[in-house]
Amino acid sequence: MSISVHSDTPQTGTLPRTAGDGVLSEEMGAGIRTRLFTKYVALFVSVVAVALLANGLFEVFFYYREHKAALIRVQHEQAEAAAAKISQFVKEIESQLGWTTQLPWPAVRQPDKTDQSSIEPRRFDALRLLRQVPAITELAQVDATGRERLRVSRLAMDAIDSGIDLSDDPKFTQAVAHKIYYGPVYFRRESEPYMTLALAGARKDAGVSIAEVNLKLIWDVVSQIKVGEHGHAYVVGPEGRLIAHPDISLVLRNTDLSGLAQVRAALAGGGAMPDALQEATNIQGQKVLTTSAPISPLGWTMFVELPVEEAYAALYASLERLAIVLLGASIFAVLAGIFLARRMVGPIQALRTGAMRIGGGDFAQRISIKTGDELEELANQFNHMGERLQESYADLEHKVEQRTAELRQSLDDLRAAQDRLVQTEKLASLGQLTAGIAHEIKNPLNFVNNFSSVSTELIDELNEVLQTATLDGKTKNEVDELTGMLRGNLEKVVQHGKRADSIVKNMLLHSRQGSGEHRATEVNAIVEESLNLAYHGARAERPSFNVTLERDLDPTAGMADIYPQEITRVFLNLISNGFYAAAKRKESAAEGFEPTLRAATKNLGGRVEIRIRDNGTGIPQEVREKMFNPFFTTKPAGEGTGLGLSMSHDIVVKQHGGTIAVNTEPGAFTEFIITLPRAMAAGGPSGGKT
Amino acid sequence: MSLLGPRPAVAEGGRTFHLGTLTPITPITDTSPGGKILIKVLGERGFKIGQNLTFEARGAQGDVAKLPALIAELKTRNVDAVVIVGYPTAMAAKAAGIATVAASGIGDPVETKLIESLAHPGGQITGISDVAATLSAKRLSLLKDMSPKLTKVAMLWNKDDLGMTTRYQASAKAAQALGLTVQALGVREPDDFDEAFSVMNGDPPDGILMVADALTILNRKRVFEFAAVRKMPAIYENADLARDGGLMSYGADVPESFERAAALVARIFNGAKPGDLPFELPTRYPLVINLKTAKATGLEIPPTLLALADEVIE
Repeated sequence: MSISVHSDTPQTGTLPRTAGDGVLSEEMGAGIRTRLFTKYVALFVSVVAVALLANGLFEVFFYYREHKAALIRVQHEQAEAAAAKISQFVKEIESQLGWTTQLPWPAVRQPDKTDQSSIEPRRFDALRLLRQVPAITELAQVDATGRERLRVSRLAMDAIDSGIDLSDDPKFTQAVAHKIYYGPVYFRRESEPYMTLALAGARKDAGVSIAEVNLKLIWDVVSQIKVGEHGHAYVVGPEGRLIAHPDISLVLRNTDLSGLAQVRAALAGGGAMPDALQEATNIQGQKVLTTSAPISPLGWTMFVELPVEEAYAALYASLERLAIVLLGASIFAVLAGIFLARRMVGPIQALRTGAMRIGGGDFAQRISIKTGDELEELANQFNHMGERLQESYADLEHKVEQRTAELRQSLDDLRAAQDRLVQTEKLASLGQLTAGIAHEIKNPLNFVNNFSSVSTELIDELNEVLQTATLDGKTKNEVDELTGMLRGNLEKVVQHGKRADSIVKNMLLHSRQGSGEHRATEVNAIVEESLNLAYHGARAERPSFNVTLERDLDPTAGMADIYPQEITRVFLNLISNGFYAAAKRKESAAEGFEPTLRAATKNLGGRVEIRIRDNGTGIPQEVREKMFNPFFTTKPAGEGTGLGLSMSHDIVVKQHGGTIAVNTEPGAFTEFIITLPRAMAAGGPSGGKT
Repeated sequence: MSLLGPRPAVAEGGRTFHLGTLTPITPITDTSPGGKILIKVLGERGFKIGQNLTFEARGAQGDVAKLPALIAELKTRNVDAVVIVGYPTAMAAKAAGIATVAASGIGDPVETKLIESLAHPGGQITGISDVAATLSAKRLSLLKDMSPKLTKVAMLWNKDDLGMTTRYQASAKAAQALGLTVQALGVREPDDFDEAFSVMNGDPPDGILMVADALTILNRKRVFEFAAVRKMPAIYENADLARDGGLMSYGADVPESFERAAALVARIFNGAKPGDLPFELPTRYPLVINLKTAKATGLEIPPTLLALADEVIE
């Protein structure tokens, strides 16, 4: 798996916020990551732990119950087996004792030799019994009347015919009544446990054998009973006295166990104890699992006990194993949880970061997740989305740019149109004013011109008259001087009158509308004609004038519906201006400068464009603003009327609905650009439209 | 998991236990019968020579006066328990306040005021009590069984040994019950034996009862010889004497006593106070008859008695 978040392109300046935001959201993201991560791990661990724990607890619970039940059962069997052994021990003594009760005692005691000799084998038998049965310390034989006839002992001298009367002693009476008598446990020298065992013979006259049994010998039996490693068996008498215990010191100390709960319970229950008491404290204060079994027919109880620790050692071991397994599994679950959570959270984190950056505007962002699963698919879709967003964004930007450019163009056009409109309106009003004035001035001017002509003639007549008159030479000279001066003045009046007349005529022309007829005209032809006219005009006026004419006429310029005279006037005007500027520049320019004028046409489809360009002095900015104003001129007084451009403007814009623009650079060139619609608008002259 | 129950001492931090033995005569070494039993039983209970058990054997070689010094010596060796034989040794050990297990030959400890009671001895001593006092009467009766014509018995005992004295007193009482006369031959030192023998030469008894103690045991051969020469039946207290050439013996089983003594030592090693451990009584009293001696002496052993013998040496 490989996860990376990267930009295909370097971070651009378009996203100044994202850097700062990124830092912030990384911090936020860390918190979220931890939560998700922890959640995943915790979930995984808890699922595994719950499963394991549940399994473990079940196992432990049932194992505990079964183990305990099995232990109790085994122990109970042991107790019963041990009890049987003790019974066996006693029974063996009984059966051995039985041999001594085979022979009858003579009914009457006869202290004679025969009696003495008859007792000797019995003594020998008794001594042999002692030898065979170590537990019997002392054996007494009592005849049917209850008199002790013989007593042998390991420790004391044998007694024959001691004559002790035992006829009222329970040892005798009980034995006679029940064939056998188990006396109470007693402690010799307050230490050794003993029991009297009396056995009556099958025949009534066989008497009773009374054995003092050293119960310490049971110790051999008890200490051989193995109960686990540290468990043991012990025997308790009917009053709770300890009869046999592997720790013989306890027995010799004459220990009373009736204080122990299990002993009390067992004694109350006739040797068996209730299940509830299987766990108890023993005489050493140890916690033990204990069971008991009655030892019949003695009325004793056999206890078997096993320290709880040992009894449950297997259980504890299995618990320990379970704990280890649980621990191991938990560690594994944590690791697996971390691993899985990493696998999960890592890609999600990458997705989140990627989404965040895309959201922040970094559409170049690509998320690389190679998990080969749904997450990778998701990342791919994210990337796809990013791509699409990036494309859309780029497209949008492009469109906005385009629209903005278009709008800007529209705005510019609008502004130009507005300017032109204002200009046109201004010029129109000026034109009307000029026409009015011209009209009013024309008549007086005619008077001035006519009368000055007449006056000149009159001076001639005067001179003729004076020729005839006799005048001295001096006077004649003065008259001649005066008439000469008058003539000169009149000529000036005429000259300037004519000029004024010309101005007025121009003014009237200016204001005149729709002069001539409009018809479809070859644009190139009209340009060519205008060039020729202007050139020759200029040569006629100043023979020294020279200019290079260039023509760049678009053969497809075609026809345009125009007023040919008017347009010719415009072209003549513009070309003359060009000649003027070029010539003017040549005056100050270095040698080699060649005045050039270039005329070009261009087919613009519905319109046709005409450019008149000279390489003259150019038009300064301040002039450019005012050059279409009537009467504005830069030429010296008398050379221009200041109406040429104004008129041209009116013709092109107002009359033809075309445009006129100037492109110039002072000291380099001036170019007038005229566009004319091929067909004039039906509404007549309403310039400003493109 | 640790078990709270009693455990073999081996596991108790690797501690080494020191066992001493002390007798008035020859030491109970680890090769002697008693020593072997001690080591064997202790080994079964987790105390092994060379691992966690040392064994120091001392014997006074008959000179009971040396016993306190020997006890003191064992005490300086830091013994954890001392197994002793004989009443004088018990007295010396009691005086020294050392943990003591009496294996045999100390008589009735309650009667000799060595301890308070069998069940609760108190002090630093426990062990195997012998009921030699009552057994003396039994021995006399056995002697009479051996030689039914018996009327006068010589009793050899150490006058200086309180344990022995009580036995003599008990025996004398029993003798009267059996219709016997007792020739009391108390001895104090080896030289006294000559006098005892000369008394017996002058007034020959029908049999001899030797009360075993350091002095009498040391001089046993002389008694055996005397009995053999005189063709006198003699009974001794323990099986060793019968095996060693005595005619017969009746007394507590020595191996059993040493086994029990070893068990008590193990209890002491495991932390029990000797005074809390009840004195135990022997259960087995083997009758040993040395047929070889009988034949050499020319004594006829009644078949019934022979049949009752636990051990017959041929």
